[in-house]
Amino acid sequence: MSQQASTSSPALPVSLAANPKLSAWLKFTSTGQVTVSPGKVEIGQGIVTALAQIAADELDIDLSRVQMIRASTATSPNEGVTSGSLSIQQSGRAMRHACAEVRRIFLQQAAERLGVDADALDIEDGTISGPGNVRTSYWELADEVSLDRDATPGVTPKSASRRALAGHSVQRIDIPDKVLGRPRFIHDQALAGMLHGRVLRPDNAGARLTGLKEDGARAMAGLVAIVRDGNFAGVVSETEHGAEAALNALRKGASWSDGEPLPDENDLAAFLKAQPVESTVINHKSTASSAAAARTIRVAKGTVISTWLTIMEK
Amino acid sequence: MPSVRFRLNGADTQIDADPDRSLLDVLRGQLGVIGPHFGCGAGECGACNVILGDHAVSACDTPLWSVADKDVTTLEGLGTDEQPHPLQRAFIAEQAMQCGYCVSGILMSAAALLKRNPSPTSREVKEALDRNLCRCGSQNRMVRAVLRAAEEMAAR
Repeated sequence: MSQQASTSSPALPVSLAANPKLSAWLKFTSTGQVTVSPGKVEIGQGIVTALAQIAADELDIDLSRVQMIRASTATSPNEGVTSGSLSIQQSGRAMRHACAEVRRIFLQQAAERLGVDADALDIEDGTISGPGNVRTSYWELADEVSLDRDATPGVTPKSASRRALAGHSVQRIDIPDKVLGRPRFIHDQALAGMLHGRVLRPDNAGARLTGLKEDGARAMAGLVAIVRDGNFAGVVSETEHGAEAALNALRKGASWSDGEPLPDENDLAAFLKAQPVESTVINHKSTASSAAAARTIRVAKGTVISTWLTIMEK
Repeated sequence: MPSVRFRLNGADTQIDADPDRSLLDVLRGQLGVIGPHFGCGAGECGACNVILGDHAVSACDTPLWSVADKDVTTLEGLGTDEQPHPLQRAFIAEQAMQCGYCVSGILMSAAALLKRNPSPTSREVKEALDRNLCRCGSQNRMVRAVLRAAEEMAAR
């Protein structure tokens, strides 16, 4: 999923290049709604609202018409992981481009149907109108416009100054569920046939499981399985409570080698600094760079290094 | 299996369960009441707070037997979709959360406070929420939301 190397022709945003079909990102319903499917997950950072703002802005529809579909492995565009504060940068750019292109496709369809030039048409909350009081809408045209086509480069989204929603504060769309106790968290989902697991852990790092008496855990109600693979052991139960009870019983039957003591918690900084690191240069600016580059990159002279500290589990 | 009776959000409730199990375990498990959230499991974070009588308690370290014949209120009993509690409206108005995982417990702590003290000062709100952790850093908005709800309730 790397950006096209060519700088001469415009490229699609990375997430859109990886998932080019427009219908994967948004669909119109005949009831005046748009379902929007990002491939990034809402984990409390507020992206569903931000992405809805971007989509509504680009489509010229009211925010209330946007229904955000929760990302799912089976059906959403594959945008990789949700991490690194990249959701707006990646999903947002893809969404903005996809919506701008969809808007243009609908305008062309409306122009044909209404017999006017597409440039003469305006869109307000999904209603497309033009000179002579001609009008139609996304919802009217939805059946005749197929979005099962690939996005193309070169679409120009609205300029930032023309955005009415993105970049402005709106009420978060996930908050009412959270104050009203409606399921919003993965912990609140109960699936049919769902089982519960717990993992047995030693007190010390690197301890080896030298013996495991399973009788106590086996006697617990709801137990489905005791899993053992070398030093890894765990329980599976029909209920969360049963898994806890079985784990407690299993813990009593477990013997561990000594392992290694954990680092001194009063001097964790020294411990961290003593670990192996992996460094990546993400920007290096030398004093010899051109004046143009110096204007563009206003980073202080020097090298920006992203350092990842990896503590391997032994 | 022993049976424990209590009132849950105003409704008589009888549950067959080991009385030493935690109230949270029984609420989220057998009773399917998901308002209270499991956070630390050690009574430290407040995400599982429910109101017992007039006070907020953490359900994760409250044994089931101890609520026998008592009134337990969870987020589900605070307000409804049609008629949200003033606190619920105020938390929406102030956008008083980021991830929102702790909010259920915070609403219960705040509701217990307003039950005991309908017009708290900012300091009293902070004291009442002192044992509720929010690592997203939404505390200032939450304090404003509780004060807003108190004003709205007083104006009725």
